[in-house]
Amino acid sequence: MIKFDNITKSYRSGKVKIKALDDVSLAIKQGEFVLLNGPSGSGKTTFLNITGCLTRITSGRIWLADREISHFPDHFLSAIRREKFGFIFQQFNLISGYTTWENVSIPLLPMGVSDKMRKKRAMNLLEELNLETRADFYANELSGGEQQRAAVARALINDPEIILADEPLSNIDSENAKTVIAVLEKLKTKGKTIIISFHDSQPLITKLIDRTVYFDSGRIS
Amino acid sequence: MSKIAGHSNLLIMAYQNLIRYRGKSLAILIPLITVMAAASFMMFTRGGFVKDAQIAKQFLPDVTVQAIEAGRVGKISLGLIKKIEDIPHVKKVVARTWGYLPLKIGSVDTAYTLMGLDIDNLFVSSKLPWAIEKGAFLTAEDRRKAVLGQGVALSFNADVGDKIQIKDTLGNKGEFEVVGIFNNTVQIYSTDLILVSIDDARGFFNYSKDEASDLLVYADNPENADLIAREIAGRFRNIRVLTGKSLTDLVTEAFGRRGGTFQAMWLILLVTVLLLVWAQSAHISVDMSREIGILKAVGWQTGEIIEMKMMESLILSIGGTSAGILAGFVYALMGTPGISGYCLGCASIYPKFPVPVNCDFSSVALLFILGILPITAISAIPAWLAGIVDPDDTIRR
Repeated sequence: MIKFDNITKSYRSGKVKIKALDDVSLAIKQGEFVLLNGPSGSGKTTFLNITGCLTRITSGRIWLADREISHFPDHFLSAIRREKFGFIFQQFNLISGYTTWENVSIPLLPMGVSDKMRKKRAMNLLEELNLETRADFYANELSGGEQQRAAVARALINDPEIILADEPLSNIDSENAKTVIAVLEKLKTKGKTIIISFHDSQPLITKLIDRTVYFDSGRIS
Repeated sequence: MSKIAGHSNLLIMAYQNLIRYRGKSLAILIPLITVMAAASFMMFTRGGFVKDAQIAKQFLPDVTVQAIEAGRVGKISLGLIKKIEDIPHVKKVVARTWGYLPLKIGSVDTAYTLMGLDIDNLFVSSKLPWAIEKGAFLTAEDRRKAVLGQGVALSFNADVGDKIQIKDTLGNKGEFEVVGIFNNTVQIYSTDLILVSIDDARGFFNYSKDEASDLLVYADNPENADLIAREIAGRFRNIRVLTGKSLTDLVTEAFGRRGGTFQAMWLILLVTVLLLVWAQSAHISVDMSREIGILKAVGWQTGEIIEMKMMESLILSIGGTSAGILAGFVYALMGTPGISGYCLGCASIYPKFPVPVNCDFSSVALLFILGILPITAISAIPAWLAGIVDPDDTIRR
């Protein structure tokens, strides 16, 4: 279970202090499929980044499986990201100098997984996402939709317990969206926790959603 | 999965990154090779001069005594020999007569040294045979015979058994048969040398039987050279006293100064390369910073990112330094074409005089340290700075 108690996140933009999240409390159970919904700038992405230990909270407390991680040092947070989370970024965040399969398998590299094994695991995921023919293409040679699917594959390469997805269908056509949704459905049946954000309604995933959390101006409404 | 396999993966990725971003790699590698080549040829040639000077020291007297007339070096009386030999710790005093002679090679006016030694009393004769490459050293009975330095032999196109004609600016002439040619172990001193008997030199330079250019003083122990020099300087007037050490110091200092000029140039170049490496690494703020943020976001530890970046720098700096050292060594062996005159400072004497080269372990080790450590450190800092920030902040930059 992931539990958030009265968390706030403030940014400073020049002299202006921006409160991206304001006193948010939420508990997400293991295996739950949670949709974060709300307009752009409402705090969904910030909440996902905090959940995935990509950024720190300004105040409040966070528990992950009964362990408070709010003030964990950097190397513990890296370990948590590696072992627990798979993150699908809205902007894909692939590394342009690497091929698709290299991008997908990059989380495994410092873990000592052999080149052969990394490629095998990457290819399995790329096949599942209909991207195997693009395995040796460089990231900057892929279309937006292909990059999004490669980002999905990278998020799943570690077989994470929790998948965080920031607008994962925003750059892909309906056919590829169905492929991604099929993958998400499979993950749900495996008991993975999935937290996904959309700024608009997504009828294609309605059947998968256990709970919808609405964000507005950094608060849960 | 073992930790070793993880490090091995990082090493492979570091190598692949250098290939992927080859433009950036070459932008660091080419200046680094240039700088290390400059540093190594400078160090190897300076080492060569120092080594030559150290070898030649064996043939130098412990103290040299010259007479000063009207503030200039003049003829010294042989009557001083007995008086100097009475000084404690002095083992032997030998007379020497020498002077410079002009030589025109093509359109270049050069000079060489005619030196006459008292072969009967020569104290270091046992060491001299191995300094001879061809023929033999002079014997006490030899008259009108000469041993030539390699530069002189080349200029006269003379070999053992040939006869050479020499003359000075006053019109004095002489013919000498070449009996030996020095080898290249002591070229600093021997390359422009024509060595003859002291009687021949006296005759050539119009010295009387009881005069010489200087007196060579040998001590019972080289440690006593300074003591003897002080004693001679204190006892006799109008003389100049030089120790063997001061002469070798003079040579090494002269070449050390030239080396110093190159060292200053090299330091400027090294700083330039380091700034370049920093600029390339600071490029991290754009692409690399984002890449580091992504790596952290997918679970890489900051330490793993720094390790990979340091491996990239290590591969680059080891490769660049090795190639630079090799290039510098080859350039030094080729005689530092283009700047040999400046290196030697005596190009007007013998253009054929090669720059000595000495490549030893300590010089190579020092070059590797200078080439590798600063570049590795300087490129690791921006990676560390990007690595310690939350991934979200790094990706957003």
